[in-house]
Amino acid sequence: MTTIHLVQWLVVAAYVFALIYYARFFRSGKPLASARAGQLLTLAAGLHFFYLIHLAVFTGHLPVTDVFEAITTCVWLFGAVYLSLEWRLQERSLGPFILPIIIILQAVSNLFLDLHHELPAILQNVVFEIHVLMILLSYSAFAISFIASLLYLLLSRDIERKSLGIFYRRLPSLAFFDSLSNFAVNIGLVFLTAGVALGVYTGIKVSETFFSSWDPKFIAVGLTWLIYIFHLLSRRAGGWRGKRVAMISLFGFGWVMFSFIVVSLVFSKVHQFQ
Amino acid sequence: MPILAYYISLDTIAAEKKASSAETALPLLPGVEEGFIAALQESIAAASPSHSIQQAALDFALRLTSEPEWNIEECLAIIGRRFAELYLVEGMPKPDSLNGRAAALSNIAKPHSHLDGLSHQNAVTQFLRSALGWMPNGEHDAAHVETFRRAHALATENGLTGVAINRLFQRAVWLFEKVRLETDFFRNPIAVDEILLELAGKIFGGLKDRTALLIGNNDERRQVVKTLQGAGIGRLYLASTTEEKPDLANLQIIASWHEIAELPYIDLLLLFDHAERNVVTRPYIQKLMAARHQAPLLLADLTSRSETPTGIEKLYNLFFFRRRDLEEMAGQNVQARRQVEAEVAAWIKAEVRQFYQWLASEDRFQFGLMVGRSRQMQQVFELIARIAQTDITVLIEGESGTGKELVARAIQQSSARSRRPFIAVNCGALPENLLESELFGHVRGAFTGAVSHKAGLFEAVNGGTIFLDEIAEMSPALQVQLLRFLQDGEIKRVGSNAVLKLDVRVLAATNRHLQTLVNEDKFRSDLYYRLNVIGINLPPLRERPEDIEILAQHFIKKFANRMRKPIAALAPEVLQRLRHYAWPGNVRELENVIERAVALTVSPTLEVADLPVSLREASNPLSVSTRLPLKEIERQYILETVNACNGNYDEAARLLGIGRTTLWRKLKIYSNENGDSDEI
Repeated sequence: MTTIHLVQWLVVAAYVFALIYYARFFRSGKPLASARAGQLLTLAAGLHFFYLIHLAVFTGHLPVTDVFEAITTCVWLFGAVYLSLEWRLQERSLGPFILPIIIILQAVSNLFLDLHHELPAILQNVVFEIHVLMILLSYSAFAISFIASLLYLLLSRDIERKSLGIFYRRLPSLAFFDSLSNFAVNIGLVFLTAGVALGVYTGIKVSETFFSSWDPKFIAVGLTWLIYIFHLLSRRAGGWRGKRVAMISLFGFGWVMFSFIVVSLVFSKVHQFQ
Repeated sequence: MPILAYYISLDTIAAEKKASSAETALPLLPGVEEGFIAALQESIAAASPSHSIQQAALDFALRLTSEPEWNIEECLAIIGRRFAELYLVEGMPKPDSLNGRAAALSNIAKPHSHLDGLSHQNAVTQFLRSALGWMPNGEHDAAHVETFRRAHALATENGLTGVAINRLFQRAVWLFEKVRLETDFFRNPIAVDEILLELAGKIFGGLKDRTALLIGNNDERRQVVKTLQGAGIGRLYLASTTEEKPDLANLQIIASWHEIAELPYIDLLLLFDHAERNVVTRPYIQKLMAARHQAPLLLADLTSRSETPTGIEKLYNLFFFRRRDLEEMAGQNVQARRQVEAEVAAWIKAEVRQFYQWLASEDRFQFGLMVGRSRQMQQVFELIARIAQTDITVLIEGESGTGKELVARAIQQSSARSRRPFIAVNCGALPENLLESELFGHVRGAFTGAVSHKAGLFEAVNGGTIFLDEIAEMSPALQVQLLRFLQDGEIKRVGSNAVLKLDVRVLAATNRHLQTLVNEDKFRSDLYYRLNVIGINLPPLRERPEDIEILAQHFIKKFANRMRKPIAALAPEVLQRLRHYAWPGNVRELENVIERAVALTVSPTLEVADLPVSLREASNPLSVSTRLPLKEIERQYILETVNACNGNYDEAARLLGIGRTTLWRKLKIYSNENGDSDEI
């Protein structure tokens, strides 16, 4: 077991530790526990960043070249995006819902990460790395939107049932989750569009048959893009509000997870244009 | 300490009563009420119908005065409060005749049963509970907390609270914060209007840009309007046929149903009157929702009957609440609060136990490194405790030896900067130029000998506290720089143009009367006002003789420990001497006297022989202990002065402040008297 293995599980442990505090805070509502939770998550994200650097130095490239590397990077970005939101909004009630996703994804990445896989020449390219980072950033944003929408639905259910449950007690407001979710989707769309554009640019450069090869990943990401564009339009043009939009966000992120893992695994060689 | 608990119970009951009858404004603390104490005094002294009542009243007053901690005014204040208690608690009419007062006084003699152990603890418990807004009947009232604090502030202002009450109050405030932060005790609303507000908050977040339409008018509506306005709602529309004129800025009254239909955008729709409910139909709501792009709408039916307009509940994104729903929610909250109450009760119990431990200990007269039981010092301690948490500049004034630096240290120790550096600078100890570079630093070549950069004390202490002693000795040029720092938080090193922004709390002290120096233009007035945001005036030791014993004991303990001598006490005559001495050097002098005595003594008790000469010979005719006729004192003083001036009558007359002729006349009388006695 190398240092990398030790560190990667330490990262998971740190996230679990933070989750315990977030959950405790969510249950009790004590502000002191909340501050400690935020500190622990920052610590965990710091440790994760250290792990990513370690990984990059060890493999000699940014950890974005295969799906499990991409997952851990994505998880870190997700954590960082969430932390910045937390600082900005001073609202920690999303933490207990975001951390399980982070922990599961990080554990999956740890288990299957192959440190010595061969790197196709096409992937040793700065534009490609930016392309992947952009896409991953957009996925992080969609994940935030997913959590916000989930909490919107939970809070909305509590209000409608008039049962002053834990969500009613601890969550801020429907309007908060609504605007947070939309904000995240808008940001995510910007990154996704940029990422796809860069991907197309790279694809055309390396393979003349790019558009005719029906690359499954390209199709999957294209679908993701369409779903979130629909989300945007349903609000802007259709005037949809509340639960319906939240459902679209839930569906969108479900599709992102599906395409991210399944499509990458099943068609792992296709996207490398070999 | 029975009387103390009694005092507390009175305070508590008075505060509670005030809370419950805030509007009728009953006299809470009769000590405050003008003439009440005087009347009371008179009623004890003057003829009372029954001799036994008079006796009982005097008895009670004597019992109070036998407590060394209280002076007569305090005792009277307590009696006064007992009156308040009587006519507040027992519903007695305010006694305005002598007979009435006498009757009340007869009750005063009774309360022995209140004074046994259990009752005290109940009183303290009740005190803490009322600080949490927890009424004796188990209800909660947030407004009560405010009243409680006001009552305490009022009592403090009038000097009616002692050390124990203040301690208890501080603990109560602390407990309040703990309960507020760690439990849901105050969080869950139990009134319908507050639940409505919380619901609106859960749906809309802030209410700043929201619009509410209130239809109908009943008693409850007034309260709801108040609550919504308190939460800062954007616009309020009141629709009603029977409307009084409210004078509120963001509130608009709508008279006709047409106008209701015209209103473009409603977030909260509240119904108060079922007679007018026919307006709120499904099509109307649908129209509203369409205008709002189906954004969430809060509709509450607060009429007592709950006939729902058909089909409204099913509408998308409409949050509909009947009165019954809101009341059920209130019930859930009450239930949740009951669970918390047990926890809070346990905390209160622990707090009460701690309070009694503290009462039994000597700690209650200590603050930081300072000791004092006198009211003046207790007030100083309290002031320190109150201002320490802020970053306010404090000016400490007091004669030399009163412990100005100890005050500064106590402020620093109890502040948020307690772990940050603390530096004390004596501004009188250094020449002007040196002081400037010492405080603000200098750059290389700023003056001869400035061979390198040097950070000043302000920089060194950044984030912490600086204590400037003898601030009056500061030169005018430096005063300007200090003022600049206090105003902008900026300093410049000597010889440098670069401005440094620093975060330093300034505490200043002086043993001179700064206001006089300002009047004489020897100290900048703008700096004075900037420093004197909060002034702490340390009373000289001679003005608080009750502190001498406790201070002496404190120093004996300190030096006995240091010198490893088993000294436990000081002889009564020694204490007598200490009390009657004027202490020009204040506490520091007392400390030195005790140190010397402890070093010299050979017995386990400090004796008069161990005191310095000045204290041993209490033969000064002007000292209070020896009583002489005024004439004799005058004679001795005049003769002494003439002797001191070596027979220079002009000088002696000037010193004595009398005319030369008068002096001559007096001297002649004295010599005649002497002559007479010689002859006899």
